Amino acid sequence: MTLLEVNDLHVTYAGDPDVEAVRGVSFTLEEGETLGIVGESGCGKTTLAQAIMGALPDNGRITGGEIIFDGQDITHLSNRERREIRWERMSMISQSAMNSLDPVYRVKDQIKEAIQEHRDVSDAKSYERARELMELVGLDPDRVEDYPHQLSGGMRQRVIIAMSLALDPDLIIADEPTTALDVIIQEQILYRIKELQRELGNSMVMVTHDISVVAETCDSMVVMYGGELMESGNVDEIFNNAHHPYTLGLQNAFPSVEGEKRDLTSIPGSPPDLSEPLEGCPFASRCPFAAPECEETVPVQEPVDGHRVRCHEPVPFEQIRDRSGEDETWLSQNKV
Amino acid sequence: MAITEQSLNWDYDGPIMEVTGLEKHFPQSTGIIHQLIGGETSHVKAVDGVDMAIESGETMGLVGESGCGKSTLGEVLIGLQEPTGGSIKFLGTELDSMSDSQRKEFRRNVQMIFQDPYESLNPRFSVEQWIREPLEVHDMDNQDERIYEALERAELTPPENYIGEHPHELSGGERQRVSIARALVLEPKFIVADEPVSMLDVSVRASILNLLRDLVDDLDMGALYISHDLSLIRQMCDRTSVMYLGKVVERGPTEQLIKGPKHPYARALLDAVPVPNPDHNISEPQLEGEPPDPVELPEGCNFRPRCPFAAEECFEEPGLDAFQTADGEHAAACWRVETVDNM
Amino acid sequence: MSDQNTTALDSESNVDALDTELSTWRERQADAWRRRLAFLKREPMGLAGILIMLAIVLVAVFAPVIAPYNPTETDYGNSLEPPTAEHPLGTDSAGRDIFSQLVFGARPALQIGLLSAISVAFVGMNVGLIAGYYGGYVDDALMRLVDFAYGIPFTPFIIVLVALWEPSKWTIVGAIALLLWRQTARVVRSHVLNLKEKPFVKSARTVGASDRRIIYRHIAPNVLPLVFLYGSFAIAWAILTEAAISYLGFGDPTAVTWGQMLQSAQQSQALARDAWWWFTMPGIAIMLTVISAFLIGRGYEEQLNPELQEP
Ligand SMILES: Nc1ncnc2c1ncn2[C@@H]1O[C@H](COP(=O)(O)OP(=O)(O)OP(=O)(O)O)[C@@H](O)[C@H]1O
Ligand SMILES: Nc1ncnc2c1ncn2[C@@H]1O[C@H](COP(=O)(O)OP(=O)(O)OP(=O)(O)O)[C@@H](O)[C@H]1O
Ligand SMILES: [Mg+2]
Ligand SMILES: [Mg+2]
Repeated sequence: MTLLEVNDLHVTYAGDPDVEAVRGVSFTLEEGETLGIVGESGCGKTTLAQAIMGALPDNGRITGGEIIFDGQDITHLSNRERREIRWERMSMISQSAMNSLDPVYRVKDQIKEAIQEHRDVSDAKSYERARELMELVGLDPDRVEDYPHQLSGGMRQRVIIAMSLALDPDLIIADEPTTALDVIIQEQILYRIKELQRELGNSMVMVTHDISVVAETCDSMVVMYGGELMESGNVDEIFNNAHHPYTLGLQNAFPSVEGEKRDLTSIPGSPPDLSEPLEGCPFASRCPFAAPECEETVPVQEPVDGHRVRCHEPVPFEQIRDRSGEDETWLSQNKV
Repeated sequence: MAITEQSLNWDYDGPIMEVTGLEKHFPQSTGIIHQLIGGETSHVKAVDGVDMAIESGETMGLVGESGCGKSTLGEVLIGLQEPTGGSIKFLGTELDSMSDSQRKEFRRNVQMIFQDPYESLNPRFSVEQWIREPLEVHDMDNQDERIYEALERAELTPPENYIGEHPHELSGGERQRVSIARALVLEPKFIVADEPVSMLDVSVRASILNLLRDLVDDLDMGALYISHDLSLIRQMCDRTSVMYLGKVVERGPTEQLIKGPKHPYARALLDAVPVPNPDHNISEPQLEGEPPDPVELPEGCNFRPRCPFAAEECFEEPGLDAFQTADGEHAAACWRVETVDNM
Repeated sequence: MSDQNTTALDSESNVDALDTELSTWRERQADAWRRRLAFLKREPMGLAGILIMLAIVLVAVFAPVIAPYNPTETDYGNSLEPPTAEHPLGTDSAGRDIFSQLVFGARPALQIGLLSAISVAFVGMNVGLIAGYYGGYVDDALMRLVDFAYGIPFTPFIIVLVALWEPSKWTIVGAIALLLWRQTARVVRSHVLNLKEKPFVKSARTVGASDRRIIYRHIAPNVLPLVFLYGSFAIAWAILTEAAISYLGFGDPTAVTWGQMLQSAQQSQALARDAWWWFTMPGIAIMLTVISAFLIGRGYEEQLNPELQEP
C-alpha cells in the first residue's frame, strides 16, 4: 500500500531574490519501504524533507503540487492539523540534530518532553519509555541520566533516533543521519536503523549525498539535481541500469573498497542558481552530452517499470553509459 | 653531505620524514582538589609510540576511527605541536637539534591542508593576500609569479579570476584549491592532508584527490593523507597505516591491505565502509561501541576489550612485528592473524 | 585593502582581463559597503543615531560660524533673559548667550567622547588579544587586572583622580581609559579564545607566521567590529561622566562644556529663579548626544550578531 505520494511538488523560499528550491518532484513510497534521496549540496534535499514533514522554515512555502500521506492530502493543512500528524505519524532526524539537544537537560527529560508533547502520559511512564528507547538504539539505558555533553557525537545521534521513535511513527525522515560521523559509528547507526525498521515495520525516507549509503540501506531512490528529479526507481535498477548522465557521473565519482581499483571521474562546473527560473534541463550546462534541445525544453519522460529518467537522450543511453566512465568525457567540456 | 652548516641535508636519500617512538600525551585537566591532595595528573595518550617513515614521492595513508589520534600525529609531524616523546627526523636531521635557520627551512618545507574548507581560510583575506602570506613570512622573491604559478597548479585558472575573491565568494571545492595553492606556494617537500575532501561534494572530490596525487608525483613530495574512510585512502595512497588509540596497528601497501587486512581492527574498519553496490546490504557491524578514552589503556593489546578474536596471548602487548609478510612490507600488531585467517 | 590589486598590475597578463578584474573589484568594494550600510534600512533607530551624531559633529566643526556670540563674553545688562529673537535660547546670570555656549560645548563633548572611545578600544582590544591568544599565566595576570578594574567604583574613582590631577578634559579621558577598557578586554578575550582555535589560525602557524602577525593580521580584524561597538558605548559614557564631574564641581571652571553650564546653573540657583532655559538646554544636548551614541551602538550590535557567527 502506498504510504506517501508526492506529486509535482514545488517549494519556494521568499527572500531577495526568491529561491525555488524544489521544482516539481514526484515519487511514491510504499509501506515498509525505504526511499533514498541523493544529490549534491544545495540541490533541495533538506527542503523536500522539510516540506513533507511540514517543518519548512518560516520563509518557505509549498507553491505547487501535492503531498498525500496515507490517503490524505496534507499539502495545505493548517499548522495545528499538521502538528498532529507530525511526530505522531511521521518523525524526522534532522541534519544537525546531534547538536540540537539542549545542553542543560538530562537525556531522559528531553525524551520525556518529546513524548508528553503529544501524549498524555505520566512522568514515570515516560521515563520508562525513555529507557526502553535507549536500549532499542543500542545505548546503555542508564545513560538517560546523562547530559548531552557527556555523550559522544555518535551517542547523541542515537538519542535523536530514540526520540524520533518515541511515538512509533509510520514514517521516519532521516536527513543525513550519519554525515558527521566516522565509518564505524555510521555503520552501527545505519544497521540499528535498519534493524528497527524491520522490527517495527515503518517506512523511511533517507536523505544523503552518499550513494553507497543508499545502495546499502534503501529499496528505491530519487536522484535530485538543481531542485528537480533527474532519475528515480528501484535501487538495483538505478545502480545497474542508470540512464541519466548525472546519475552515472555520481556513480563514477564514487570510490569503493570493493573490486578492482579504478580511476574516479569528477563533474566539473557548479550547480545552477536556484533563484533563477530555468529553461531546459538544469544539468545541461555541466553535461558533456548536452544538445541544443537540452538547454531549451524541460525533458519529460514516461516512467517505464517504475524507472523514470528526465533526459532528452541527446546520445543513445548505451553510449552515455559507456563514455561516462572516462574522465576525458567530463573534462572535454568547458569548465565553468 | 651538507653544503653549509646551516642548510638541511638535501642530498639525504633516506625517508624524507621519519619518526620513531613518537608520543604526544596531553595532561588531563583534573579538579583543583585532586591536585591539592597531590593526585597524579593523568594523560590523554593521543599518540603513543608511533614509528613511521615516508619517502619522497610517496603518499602514506593514515586511517582510523574518530579520536584515535590522526590529526594529532599529523600536526606533530609538521611541528604544529610539540611531541612529548620520541624523535622526528626531516631529511635525516633530528628536529630537536636543528639550528634556527634549519628550523626555518623545515617550516618552509612542511605544510598542511585542513579538513574544513569553510573555516580554514581567513574570511577577511582575499585569495591573493592569503596565498601571499607564506611568501611574506619567509621573505621570498618573485612573489607575484609564485602566486600565479601556485594558483595554476591548483587548477584555479585563469588566476586573474580568483586573486581578488574572498572566501565567501568561492565554492567549497574552490576554497580547498585555495588551501592547496597556499600550501604549495612555498614548494614544500612534505605535506599533511587532513581529511581534505570529507566536506566536499562527491562530484568534486575526485578532482581534488587527482590533483593532490598528481602534485605529489610531479613535485616529488612526501605526503601523509588522513581519513577515516578506506575507500578514499585507496584512491590516494601507496601505503597505509591503520591507527587505533594512538598506535599504528597495521601497515602495508594499500591494495594489499584492502584486499587482505590482517588486524581485526583493520578488518572491521574495511567492513564498515559502505559500498555503492545494491547487492551488498548493510551487515551486522563487527565492532560494538566506541573506543575508550586513551587515558587508562588496557593491559596488553589495546584492542583486546573490543576484539572478537581476543585470546589469552593478547594480554601481552604485540608489536607491529607480531605479524609480517615475508618481504616485511605488510605488518600487523596482532598475535592471532594466522588463526583468524584460517577461521 | 589597497594592496589587493598589485599582483594584477605587476603581472604581464593582458590588460583587458586586468581592467575587468579591477572594475569588478571596485564593484565588490562598493557592494561590501552597501551591505555594511544596509543595516541602516533595517535599523531606523541606528539611522536616527547617525543623523543626530552627524549634526552634532557639524555643529562642533562650524561652531564659530554658527554661534552668534562669543560664548564666554559676559553682558551683565542682559542677564537671565528668557529666549528672545536676539538670544534664541536666552542668557545666563552673567549675560552669556546660552545657544552659543551649547554650540561651543559640542566641541569638548565630542573630543572627550572620541578620545575616550579610542583609548578604551586601544587598551581593551590589546589586553583582550594578548590575554586570549597567549593564555596561561599572561591570561591569568591580565584577567586579574580586569577583575581589579571591575572592583573599582566608577564615579568615586574619577572624582579622586580629578581631584589629584588638574581638572581638565584630559584627566577625564585618562580616567575613563583606565576603567572602561575592562569590558572591551573581557569580550575581546572570549572571542579570541574561540578564534585562535580556528583552522585558519592553525594554517597561519603552519606557514610560520609570528605570534604578532597572527594576533594583528588574523585575529584582530575579526574582533574589530566588536571593539567598535564597545567604543561607541564609551563615547556615551565619557560624555555623561564629564557632565557629572563638572556638575559636581570637579570640572575645569574656565572651560565651556555642557556639564559646566549645568554646574553654574545649579550654583546660581537657576531652578529657583525660573531660568528653565539655562539648565534644560545643556541637559537636552547631553541627552541627545548620549542617546545617539547608544542608538548607533545598538543598531550596529543588532547587525553584528548574525555576522559574528559568520564573519
Ligand atoms: N531558509 C532559506 N531561505 C532561503 N533559501 C534557502 C533556505 N534554506 C535553504 N535555502 C536554499 O535552498 C536551496 C536548497 O537547500 P537545501 O538545504 O534543501 O539543500 P540540500 O540538498 O539539503 O543541501 P545540503 O546537502 O548542503 O544539506 C539552496 O540553494 C539553499 O541555499
Ligand atoms: N589539545 C588537546 N588537549 C587534550 N586532548 C586532546 C587535544 N587534542 C586532541 N586531544 C585528544 O587526543 C585524542 C586524539 O585526537 P585527534 O584529534 O588527533 O583524533 P583524530 O583521529 O584526528 O579524530 P577525528 O577523526 O575526529 O578528527 C582525542 O581523544 C582527543 O580528545
Ligand atoms: Mg541538507
Ligand atoms: Mg582529526
